[in-house]
Amino acid sequence: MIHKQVVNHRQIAWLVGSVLLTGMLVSFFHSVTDVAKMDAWFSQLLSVFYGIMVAYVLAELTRAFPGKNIYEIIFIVFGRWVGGVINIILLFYFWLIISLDVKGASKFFHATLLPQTPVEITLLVFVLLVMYYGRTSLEVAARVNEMYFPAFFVLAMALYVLLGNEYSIERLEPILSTSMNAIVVSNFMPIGIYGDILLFGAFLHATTHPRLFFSAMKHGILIVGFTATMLLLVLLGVMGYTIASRLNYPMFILVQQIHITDFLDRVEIVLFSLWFPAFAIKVIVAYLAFLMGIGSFGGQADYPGFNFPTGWFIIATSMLTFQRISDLEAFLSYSLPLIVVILQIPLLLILYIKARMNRKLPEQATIPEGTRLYRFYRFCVWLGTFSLSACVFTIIIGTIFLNKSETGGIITAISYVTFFFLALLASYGEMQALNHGKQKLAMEKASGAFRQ
Amino acid sequence: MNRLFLLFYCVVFIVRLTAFLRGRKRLPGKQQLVMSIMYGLTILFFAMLQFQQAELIPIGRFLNVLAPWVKMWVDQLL
Repeated sequence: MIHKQVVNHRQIAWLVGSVLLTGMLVSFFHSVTDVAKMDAWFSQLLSVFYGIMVAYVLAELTRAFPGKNIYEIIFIVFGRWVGGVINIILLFYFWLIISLDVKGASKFFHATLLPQTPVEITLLVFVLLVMYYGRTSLEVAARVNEMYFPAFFVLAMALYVLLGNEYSIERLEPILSTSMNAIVVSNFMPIGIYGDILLFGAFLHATTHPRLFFSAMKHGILIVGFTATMLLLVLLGVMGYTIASRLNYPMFILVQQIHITDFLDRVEIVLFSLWFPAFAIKVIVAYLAFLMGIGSFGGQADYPGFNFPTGWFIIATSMLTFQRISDLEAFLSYSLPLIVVILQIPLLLILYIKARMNRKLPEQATIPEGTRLYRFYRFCVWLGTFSLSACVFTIIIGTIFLNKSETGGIITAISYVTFFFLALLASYGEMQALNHGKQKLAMEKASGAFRQ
Repeated sequence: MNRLFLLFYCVVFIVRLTAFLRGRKRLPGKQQLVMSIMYGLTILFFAMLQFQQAELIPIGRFLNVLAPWVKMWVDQLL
């Protein structure tokens, strides 16, 4: 069953968007604003680099071990016993992600939208939904995500307009006045969430074009980085860091601040109706990755057989963990980044070295060299690298040379957002160029075969 | 714990466990083993869940054992 899954580049990019972005919205912004204060919106850059690095290693793995997922690769690289232990640790990490999200969502709905419904019932219904998708494959989740993620993204961006009457730029000022240490630490905190990208390692077998896979993941990561930056910008501009850092669910309260007209009340219900399916997709992806891990131990690719015991196991364990919302926040902001760094970096480093040594697929010529498309692709790669580097230099120059200057702060802010947006556009161009090149080559091959 | 949840959870679990125990001979050995472990762990954790008020198994605290250290490090850095 697992070898029948086919997911295209756009679906991968949007799945990455859903998986990383929706996880932040429950309560993560609270801790970032607590650390970096009014400069919390500069907090995504380091994690974006980390996410791109993980995506690169995953793409290298597909090149070295085509048709294999991360569990199978770990078994191949480390052997049966050591590989088994590492896979159990990986399964524990994926269980942590599922448990955190399931419990976080249940607590969130209990505290905000469904106060009369017991947490156990919300949790049970949520896991039943996830188990329903557990009988299918990533393809189904990717298609459902194609309906919800664009709407979710557009509404997230529209918050800037919808909250225009509540917004005040003074709440962000003085821009870059917090210390460099605070900005660095706030950049370290989202690594826990961006580390979720490793979940896609469980679906590596569905990838046929490593370079396109990497570009799609990179585009997804940049969508997340840019959207999170904009959401933080709106959050801080509407509430200011003092209020945002004291609320358990700052995004919920932010959405409640939308007052367009008197008759259009409770807009948050509409927004969270769109947020919930996108969030459910994230948990479904994590659950499918977990099921595949269990399947790899069960010695068969047909993982839906493990769906029921796994789902019931998730319910029992999720109820045991994170009894208080403060536990959940502390784990998400402080423990998870450390766990991600300790677990992922050594594992990915070893796998990367092995992948470089065992490269089976050569560098695929996805775009014919010398063509206009190839030049466009090179330009996009160059623009993306330049823009991301410019974002880093903007923060450094802004902190060192323009510190506490009002005009300097505004220039820094505009440059940072512009460069981030350029990086996002460049990643889109890069992904599309690769895809068009792939299709062109496939058409040329097909017409050649026909002529023969 | 909510009684409706408890009833649903336990009834469905018992039904599925019985079906598994009856039909396990038809399954490959490895799959049988993994499924038995998953059912066993579910029973273990569900039993643990009954003692959560007494905090006999403080899983939440265990998972967050690193958080105070990291928070202290962050505070020192700031």
